[in-house]
Amino acid sequence: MKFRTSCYSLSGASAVLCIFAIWASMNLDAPYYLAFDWLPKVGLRISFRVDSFSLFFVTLICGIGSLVFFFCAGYLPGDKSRSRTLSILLLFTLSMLGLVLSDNVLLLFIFWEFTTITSFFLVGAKCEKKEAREAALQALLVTVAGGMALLVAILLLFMAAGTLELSSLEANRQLIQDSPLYPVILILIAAGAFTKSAQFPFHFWLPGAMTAPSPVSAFLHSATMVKAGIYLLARFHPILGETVLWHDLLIGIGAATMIVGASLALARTDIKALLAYTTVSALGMLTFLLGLGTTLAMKAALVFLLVHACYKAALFMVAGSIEKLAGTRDLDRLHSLGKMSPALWCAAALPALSMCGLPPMLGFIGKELIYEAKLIAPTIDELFLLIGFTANALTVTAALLAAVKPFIPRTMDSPPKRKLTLPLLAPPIILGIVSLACGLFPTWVGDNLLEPSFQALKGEPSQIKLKLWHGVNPVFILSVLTLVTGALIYWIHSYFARMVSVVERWSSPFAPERLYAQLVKRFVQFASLQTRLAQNGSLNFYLTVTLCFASLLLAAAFFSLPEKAVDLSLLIHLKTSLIILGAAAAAVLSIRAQSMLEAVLLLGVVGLGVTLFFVFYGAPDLALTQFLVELLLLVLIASIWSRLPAFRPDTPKREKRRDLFAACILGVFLSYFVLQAVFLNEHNAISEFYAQNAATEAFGRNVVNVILVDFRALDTMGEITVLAIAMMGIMSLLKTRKTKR
Amino acid sequence: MIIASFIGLLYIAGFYLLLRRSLVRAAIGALLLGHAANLLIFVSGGLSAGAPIIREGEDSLISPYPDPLPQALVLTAIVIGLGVSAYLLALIHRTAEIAGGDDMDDLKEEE
Amino acid sequence: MSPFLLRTSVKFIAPIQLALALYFLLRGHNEPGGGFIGGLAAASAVLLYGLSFGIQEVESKLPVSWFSFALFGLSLAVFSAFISVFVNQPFFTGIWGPELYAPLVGKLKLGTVLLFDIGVFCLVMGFGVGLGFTFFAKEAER
Repeated sequence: MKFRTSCYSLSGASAVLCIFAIWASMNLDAPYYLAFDWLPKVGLRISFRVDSFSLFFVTLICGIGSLVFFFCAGYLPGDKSRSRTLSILLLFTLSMLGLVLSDNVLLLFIFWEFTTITSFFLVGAKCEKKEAREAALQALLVTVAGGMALLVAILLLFMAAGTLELSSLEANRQLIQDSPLYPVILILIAAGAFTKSAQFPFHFWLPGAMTAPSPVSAFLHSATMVKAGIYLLARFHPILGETVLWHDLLIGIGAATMIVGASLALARTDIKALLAYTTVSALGMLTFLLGLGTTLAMKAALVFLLVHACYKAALFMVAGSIEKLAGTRDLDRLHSLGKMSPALWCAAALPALSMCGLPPMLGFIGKELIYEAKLIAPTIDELFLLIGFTANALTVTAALLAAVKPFIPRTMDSPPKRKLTLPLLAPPIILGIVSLACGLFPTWVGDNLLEPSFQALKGEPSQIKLKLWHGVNPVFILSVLTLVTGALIYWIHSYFARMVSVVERWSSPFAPERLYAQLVKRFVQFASLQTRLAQNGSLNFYLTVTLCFASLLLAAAFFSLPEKAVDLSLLIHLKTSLIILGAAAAAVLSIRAQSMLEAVLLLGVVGLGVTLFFVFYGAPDLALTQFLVELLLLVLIASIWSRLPAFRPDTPKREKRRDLFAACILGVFLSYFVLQAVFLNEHNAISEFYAQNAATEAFGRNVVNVILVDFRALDTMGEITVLAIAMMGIMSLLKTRKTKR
Repeated sequence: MIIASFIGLLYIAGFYLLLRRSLVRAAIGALLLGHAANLLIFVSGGLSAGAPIIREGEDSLISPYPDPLPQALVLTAIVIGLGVSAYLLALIHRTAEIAGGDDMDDLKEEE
Repeated sequence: MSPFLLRTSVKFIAPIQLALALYFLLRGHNEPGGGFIGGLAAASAVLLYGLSFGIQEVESKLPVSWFSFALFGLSLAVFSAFISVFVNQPFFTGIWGPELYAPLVGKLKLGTVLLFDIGVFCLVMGFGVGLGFTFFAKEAER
């Protein structure tokens, strides 16, 4: 019960926000800005711009979101991970809102990546299934690759225009388009948008992502996330658009996506996969329209955005309800659902009518506008008209497949009636009614929602009124033809599907998903090869490599540093030399030490030598510390003396000689380094400061100790923390029970 | 010159021992390396007699004085070195207890 | 050396060593010494005592484990660093109190910095003694 309550409250909140967005869109005269500095040095500001185009998207997100949350209350209970799914869905909604509202492109990018990550978790919601995990990973990799392209594009934009605010980028339009970087920027931004919006050849992740729960598909894969790419392209149209490259790129890719998506759709038997491919096709249509870029085309794109969001979200929800009702989504096995639940059929039929583009639905107006835009566009080939026509006809077929085929009876026996809960039925019906209402009152929608957002985008009014009935003209005839063709294809769709699958099988070696799989496989192979080479598990090997590299670095420094006069007579007293010689001898002997006792004694001698060294060169504190440390260490070693492993004969001679050689090279370089360092003995400014201020500011005359406990006390604190941690480690090592293997 | 070669020698011995397969030898090598690094830092501050202690009645150190900054750094390094060596000792002990030896390459194969 | 001789001498030496350690600690700001050195000296004193009289003897005299002692030192140091925050100064600013004249040590200025040094002292001492005793105990297990 608690879960349902949270669904309902989220739904209510989104609905309120949606209504507020519509109200704001009606009353907003000029864009509203809100900005804070975040990282001014890299041009990153938290800056938001609320204009009517953003508000249009906010309306879409919140409106669909509200219904999706409502739908969740019926669909998700019984799912183990329902709370997680719901909360990530909420996170996704927030990042999507951030994406459409941000003015700074870097901020937009951050939200963009947020949607990618949250969608990864949503697609993989059923993470106990292998295919869900793979699909999630695939969606993530493809969209993240696009995201990287987008990031590079943003940096290049910054180089070209010197600003990252969308609003000022628009003002610098000429500067950007004249820049030599322009083609690169455009292609990279398009790559980002195409991967997100599942354009050919990146379309394959979207059908794969259908492993997500239905509410997620209804939200992410129809109305919002995949539209983020379209949003990006629309936003950049005033900045980058209206050039030959923009035109060719978007129209070409858009048309290809349209036809590929629509034909592949018919070969699917899973309702959701079918819907996903038609979504791909619709997204292609939107890209195509943005590529055309005429006033009419942009307006048509806006209308189609709304149309598509309404019907596609509704149909995805219906698919979810069908799954709940019949336990399968397979079109070949579903039938007679109309008798089982007439209400569900009604919920499916309304959006399907809109999808087919039948009057008086909003879909009809959308399709009319699209045809009109294509017919009067000056620069367009007949080929594209044909492609658009075919894609539309196939979409009609797909709509019939989704909303008619599962519902009509195929056998005589009538299945029992079953009631679906309200949350499973109401949202698609509401969306259907919205489509109908918008179709019946197009002027209201056009004037209050679409026209302001068009103005915000293009900066000028479109002068295009939405009308339901245009009279009998070429556009209308095309519409009717589309419907008839679509219905005819439905008649023979099983043959058509077989044809498509043959073509698909024939072309499968070149299919993008194949290439993707190959790429991932090769990458994993490369990674494991590289790991095997670089990490073979031998400490000796690692150390040798590190040493050789350090020697190289030192050698480089050796040859690049200016030679310094080396005064060999510096401060060498007889007694110091003797001490040093003694310690050096001990160090050399320790290499050859054959027993533990010998080694420890020699180590002690070296320590003592170092202590005396400190004494003679003016470091009484160091000498004391070193002495006490040596003492303590000796005690520690003595205390576990009998527990230490015995010395054993060492590794083969050849290996020894090699190691000795490597060590010698590094040692010689380091000696030289020391020589250079000794003669650097001007005191630096920091030491000077400490020497001057120890007594006056810190009231201590032992400068070393003052540095330790006052000037650099934070370091000391870190150090004693390290000691405490080491102590914990040792305790746990020694106090655990003996575990013999 | 002598000091420089001494430090170099410490480094050579330390690195060489660190490269041995025996864990005990590697530990001794690490200790020698610790000495070498401490001396290196210390020496880079220049060498002079006297102590970095301000005399009674004075306000600051009288030149020439040994650089106090490297001394402070080395002091902490020595104590940390103690911590590290104690940890190494415990580690060797534990390894010997579990695996019955200290040969690192053998340990690798036993993984 | 016979245990008797050892014990008798340690009985005298260890307190002196401890006193010396404290002396090192307190005079550290002006003369060679300080928390690290004092802590190490104190640790060796206690270790010596423990070696000759047995660990239980020492541990029974101290109500807390050496590990907690070390952690106490760490918290003392952290606490001293935060004192300045309470009087609206940046973290770690030294706050100074009155100057005392302590016998043997000489002039001694009280302040948070001294508190910090005492924290270091406790930590180092706890570290040294704690480890030594753990190692001894391990040895005695056999």
